[in-house]
Amino acid sequence: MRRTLHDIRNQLAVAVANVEAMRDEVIAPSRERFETVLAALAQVDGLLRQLNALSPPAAGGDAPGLDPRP
Amino acid sequence: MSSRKVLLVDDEPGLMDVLEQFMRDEGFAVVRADDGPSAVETFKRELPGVVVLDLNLPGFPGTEVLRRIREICDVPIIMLTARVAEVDRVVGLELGADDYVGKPFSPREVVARVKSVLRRTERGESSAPSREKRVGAIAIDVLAHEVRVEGKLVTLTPTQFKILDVLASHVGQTLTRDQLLERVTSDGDVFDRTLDRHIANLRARVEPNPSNPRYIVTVFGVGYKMVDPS
Repeated sequence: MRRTLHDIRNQLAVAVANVEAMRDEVIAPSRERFETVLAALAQVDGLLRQLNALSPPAAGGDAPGLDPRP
Repeated sequence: MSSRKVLLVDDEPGLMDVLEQFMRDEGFAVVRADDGPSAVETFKRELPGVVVLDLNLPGFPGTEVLRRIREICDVPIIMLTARVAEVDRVVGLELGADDYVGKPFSPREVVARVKSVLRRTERGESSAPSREKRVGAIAIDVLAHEVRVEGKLVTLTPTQFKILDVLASHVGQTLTRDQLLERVTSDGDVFDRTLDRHIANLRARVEPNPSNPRYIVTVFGVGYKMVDPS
C-alpha cells in the first residue's frame, strides 16, 4: 500500500511538473511532452486499480471480504 | 564551489527534464544524477552550490547520499520525496537536509526553495571546504585525493598525501616534527624516525630538484615548512 501510494505521488509529480512547465511556457508543448504526461497518468490509473483490487468492499474496493467462518 | 550550480538527483527523467529547465530559466547551471552512487560522484566532481535530492533512489537511498555529502561539507540540500509521513520528514531534516518538498510539487516551488536556502546560506556563509589547495606549481585536490605538479598527475602514498596536505595548509609556517606527526598519525602509520623518509620520498615526487628543495624546506632543529617559491 505504502509503495503504491509512493509511486502514485511520483507519477503525479511528473504530470503536474510537465503541465505546469507547458502552461508557463518554460518548455514548448510537444507531442513527446504530452506523451510523457499521458504515460504518467496511465500509470496512476493502473496503480489506483491495484489499490482498488486490494481494498475491501467496506472501503469501496473490489477485494473479496474475509470469510467470518473459522 | 558555485552557488549557481544545482545538482538534481532523481531517477524520473520526465521530472528531471522539467526541473532542469525551470532552474536554467532562473540562471542556474544544472548537473544531474539518477542514482545514489552517481549522485555522490557527481557532487565530488562538480561541487554544486545546492543539491535537490530525491529520497528514493536506485543504488542507495537519498538519506545515504545526504550522509556522504555531509561528510564533505554543509552544502544546502533540499529533499524531494513521495513519502509524506512525518517520520520521513524528521529523518531527512535530522540527517541534515535544509528543506523538504513533498511530491507532487510545483517546479516553481522547488526553484523558490532553492533560492531561499541559498539566500540563507550566503548570509551565513557555507562551511564548504575549498576543493583545491595550490602552492606554486603544486595543486592538491583534496576531494579527489590527487596531486598535480605543473598540471601532471603525480602518485603519492596516503601518508605522503597527508603530509603534503598538512604542509600546504600552513604555507610559510614552520611545523615541528611533533606537530606534523600529530596531524598525520591519526591512524598510527607514521613514526618519528620514518617521517624524514616520507618527506624525502615526497620531495622526490613534487620537487623539481629534490636535493635542493624549493617547496618543502627543512628548518634545522625544528621541523619542516612549505614555501611558495612563486
